[in-house]
Amino acid sequence: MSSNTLNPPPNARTLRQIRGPQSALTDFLASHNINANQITQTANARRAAALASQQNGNNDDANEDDDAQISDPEPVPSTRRRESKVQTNKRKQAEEKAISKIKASKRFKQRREHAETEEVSDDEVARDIFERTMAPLPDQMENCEACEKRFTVTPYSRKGEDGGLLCPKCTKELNKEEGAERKRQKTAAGRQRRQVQSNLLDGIYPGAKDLMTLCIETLAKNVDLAENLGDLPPSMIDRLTSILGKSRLLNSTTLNLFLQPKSDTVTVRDGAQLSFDDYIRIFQWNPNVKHLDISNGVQFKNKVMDHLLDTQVNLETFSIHGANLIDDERWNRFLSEKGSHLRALKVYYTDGHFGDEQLQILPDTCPDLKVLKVSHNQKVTDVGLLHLAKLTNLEKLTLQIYQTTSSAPYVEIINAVGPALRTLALGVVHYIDDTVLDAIHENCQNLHKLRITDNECLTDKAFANLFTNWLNPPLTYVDFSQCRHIDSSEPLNNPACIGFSSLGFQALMSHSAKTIRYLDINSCRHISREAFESVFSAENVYLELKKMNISFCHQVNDFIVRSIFRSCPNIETLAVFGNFGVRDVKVPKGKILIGVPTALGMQIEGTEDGEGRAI
Amino acid sequence: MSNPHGLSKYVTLISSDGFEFVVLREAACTSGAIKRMLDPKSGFSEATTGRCAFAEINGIVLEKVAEYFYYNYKNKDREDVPDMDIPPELCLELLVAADYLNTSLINGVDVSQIWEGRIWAFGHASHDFNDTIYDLSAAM
Repeated sequence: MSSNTLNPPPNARTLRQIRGPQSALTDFLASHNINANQITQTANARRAAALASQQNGNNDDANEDDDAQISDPEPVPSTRRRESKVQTNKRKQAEEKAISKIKASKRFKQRREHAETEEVSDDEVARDIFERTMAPLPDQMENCEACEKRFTVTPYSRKGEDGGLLCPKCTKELNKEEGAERKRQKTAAGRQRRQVQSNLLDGIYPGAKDLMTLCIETLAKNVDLAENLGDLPPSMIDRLTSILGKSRLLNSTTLNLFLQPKSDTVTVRDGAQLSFDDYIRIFQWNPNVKHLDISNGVQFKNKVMDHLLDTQVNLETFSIHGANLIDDERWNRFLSEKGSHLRALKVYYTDGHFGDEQLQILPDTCPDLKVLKVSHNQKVTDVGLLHLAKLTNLEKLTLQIYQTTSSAPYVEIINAVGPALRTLALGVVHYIDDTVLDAIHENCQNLHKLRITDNECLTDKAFANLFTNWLNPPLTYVDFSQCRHIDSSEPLNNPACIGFSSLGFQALMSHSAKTIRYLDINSCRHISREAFESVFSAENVYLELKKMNISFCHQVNDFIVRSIFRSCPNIETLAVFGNFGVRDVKVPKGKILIGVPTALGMQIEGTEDGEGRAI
Repeated sequence: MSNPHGLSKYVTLISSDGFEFVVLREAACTSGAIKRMLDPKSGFSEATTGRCAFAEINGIVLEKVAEYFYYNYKNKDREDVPDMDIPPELCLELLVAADYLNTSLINGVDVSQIWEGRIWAFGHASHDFNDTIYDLSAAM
């Protein structure tokens, strides 16, 4: 190729010909010694030079060539290259055309919707979009709006006050000026949104807090200033301990607030930061304590138990959570020495302690026991459970045993103590069978609360039989979560009708319609759509139902959720995690629907009866 | 000053030390106790005079209570409400007053019940995500 006027200087391009793939056009132009980059660069340089000379002219006020420009009633913006009046008009026309095009575009309408609250005119928004689209693209050169220096535009270049771009140096300075404020605003808004979502999950409807909550929260924040709580009613003290526990503020100092010698109740919601000395102090300060409830009480260990055994304290209610340092010997001594006064015993998370041996001596040492809870226990087996049948005064029984248990001991217990039971909760009973449900049907006539969870043997028929012609009055609290057929090779088919399913659900709801307050049937996935529709049809009303969890019941859809809101006028919280048929439901004011599988995750909206909210 | 039912729009709250606060009736009825006192059907003298005297609440605390009534009235239809500022030294007295006045009626819902409810609400809900995942894969 012979050289011509467009020939680049020899250093402009690498001579080694290491390049990426090129288009045919680029190759063609290159063969004619035309380089697009080169053209852009020269054009830019020319414009910059022209601009610089124009500014010089303006500054000097002596350039004759610029007389026409200066006397022009409409001075051309400084960033623009020189143009004649005709050109200006032409450009303005083109601009207006582009702007009217933008106004008709989808993007503009979206922007308008978002910016509804702000008082911005259509023209301004359209011009903003226009300037944005016309702004130099990354990698191009531009003059800084503030200092007029040339710089390379990047995707992060900031806009100045007049819509031009700023060079990195000016951007840095501007950021420094606004800096901290801008950042803080952004994070505060994010935190607030998360707080609203968190409250929704906790079942707290967003809005102004009540005065009591405000006071208790302020009190919790300033708990180190308080000397004593005076005569606060127990319900408030309980709420205060809950909040302190949640924010992990209960320690040796703040514990003192809750130790009132006159009171017979001590509740520690989170004892993780208390030492064994603190637990001993409870008995020294409150020698009359009758009801002791300790959560996360790891340091409630042998030493503390020894001290308790040496005192005159006779507990009627003892609830201990997480005390895995009390050995079996101390448990035996406690039960035999203090058991005669016990009315309620709740033991959670004891790891390798509290097993069959302790359950065996319970009937002899604690004859008056009315409430027994053995939860998250790794040691108890079928053998130990059998002994519970001898606790004839039992009214509430909650068991969650990690060892594999069978039906026989449960049947034995229900046959023996069933008639008086008000609460029966059997958690994580993988392999108990229909005989247990039959025993409940035969024996229990006073149940208010029934829980059987995580089972894969009970059949739908047996559930239906349980609730058909049952002498027990309607239940208030029912939890059959995860009672379902499991077969990973055929997860959708359930030929043997295993699990709490359509028949059982319909029977339960017709038996307990009047009083049921809480219903958890999460993962009972074989309940059919027809069953849901008939249970929540227009003529069925469940006035008492407050909370319901129907997560992972795959047949649930928008229609069913709407029917639930119609049939349960007093419902507060409805959980629908993992129900992909729920997409777009209008939620009545004051009600909370959580777990909608959309990007928003959860939403609440108002209907005709008042303004609600939409997140 | 009066609405169709013949009730004045404002009511007067009187503290133990004689301070009087004139408050919008609708705002004051945030409190369950005051609402019952002022209910014309109750036949209490407060209902006819529109004046409620509180022998156990002093002026400083009652002022804060009145402030809360307006705070709640103003924000009842809003979310993202900033918490009202409560001076720590008034906290306990205000708490006792709040308990007495039963200010936990928001939008007609007893919030204290919701609060209690959350402890047993979904504490036990264990969601079967694994189940869903293999159900979905089987359906595909």
